[in-house]
Amino acid sequence: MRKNRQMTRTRRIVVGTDGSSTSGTTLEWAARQAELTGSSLEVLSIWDCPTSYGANPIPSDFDPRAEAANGVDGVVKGVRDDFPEIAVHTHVVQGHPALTLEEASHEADLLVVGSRGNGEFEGMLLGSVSQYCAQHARCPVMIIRQ
Amino acid sequence: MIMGHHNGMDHSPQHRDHLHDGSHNPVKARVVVGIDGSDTSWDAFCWACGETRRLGGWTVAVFVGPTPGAASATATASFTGPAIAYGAIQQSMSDQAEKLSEQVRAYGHDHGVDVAFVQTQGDTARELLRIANADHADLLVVGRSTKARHRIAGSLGRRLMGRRGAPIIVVVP
Repeated sequence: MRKNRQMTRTRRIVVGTDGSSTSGTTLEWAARQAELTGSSLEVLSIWDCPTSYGANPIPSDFDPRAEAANGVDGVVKGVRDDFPEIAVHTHVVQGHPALTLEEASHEADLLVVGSRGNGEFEGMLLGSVSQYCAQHARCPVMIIRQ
Repeated sequence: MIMGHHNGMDHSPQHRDHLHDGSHNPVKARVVVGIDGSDTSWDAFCWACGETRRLGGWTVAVFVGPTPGAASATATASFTGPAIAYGAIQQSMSDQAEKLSEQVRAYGHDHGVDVAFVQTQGDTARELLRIANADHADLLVVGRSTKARHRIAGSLGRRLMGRRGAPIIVVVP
């Protein structure tokens, strides 16, 4: 999809979350920026099937997609309460965090990421999501110190 | 420093309550941006000014020139050849700085944004962080490095991110 360049289009700010409280600071900064610029806030809850080497059986009721969907609703409620005037949209996306955010940047005016990988997206190397996004995103990337 | 003119910018408290200092006085935002004459740094500067216009405050454009030692190392030098023209290198850096200074101030004037120009020398990442921290900058903005050698050695954005005490960093493609 080509980027819509009409003058009246709504600006979009994209931020990723894994639903944990550690992403709250990043989300808050993204919301502030959305308020400042009159942009919508697109919150991506990114999940993927965990890789397993067969040591532990995966419980039959394990549903990472549902967990991602429920998690994002919880964190976004706080943002909606604190920033009632911005349009907040949630998206539950399966994929690798860095690649997913980079792809989302094609349709975004700003991408907001946390500086540390740990806690933001479990299993990622320290800072690798933010580093990848900073180097490859199509739009400016705001990196929140954690 | 020049005093630009404010064009009806929004100074309402709810936009800047997170910028108050301890005494609850509204503090003007400071957005530090590194410029080096490249296209991406110019884009970074424009982005920074957009932010300053919204926040109300200053864009601080920082040009980090190489130290004279580094400048001479990049120039072709030979022990048996003529003496290295340090004066010429310094002059060329001064010319570049002056040109950048004029460009950023003209932009600030045209767009109603307060712009300050700072010239310094040394390691780019260290200098930008030093100035950003000394100025209590809200944001540090850099252009994404496109030079191949930066990708190998570590782009400026990546080096800034890894440092302790780095303020919020924006990398503009």
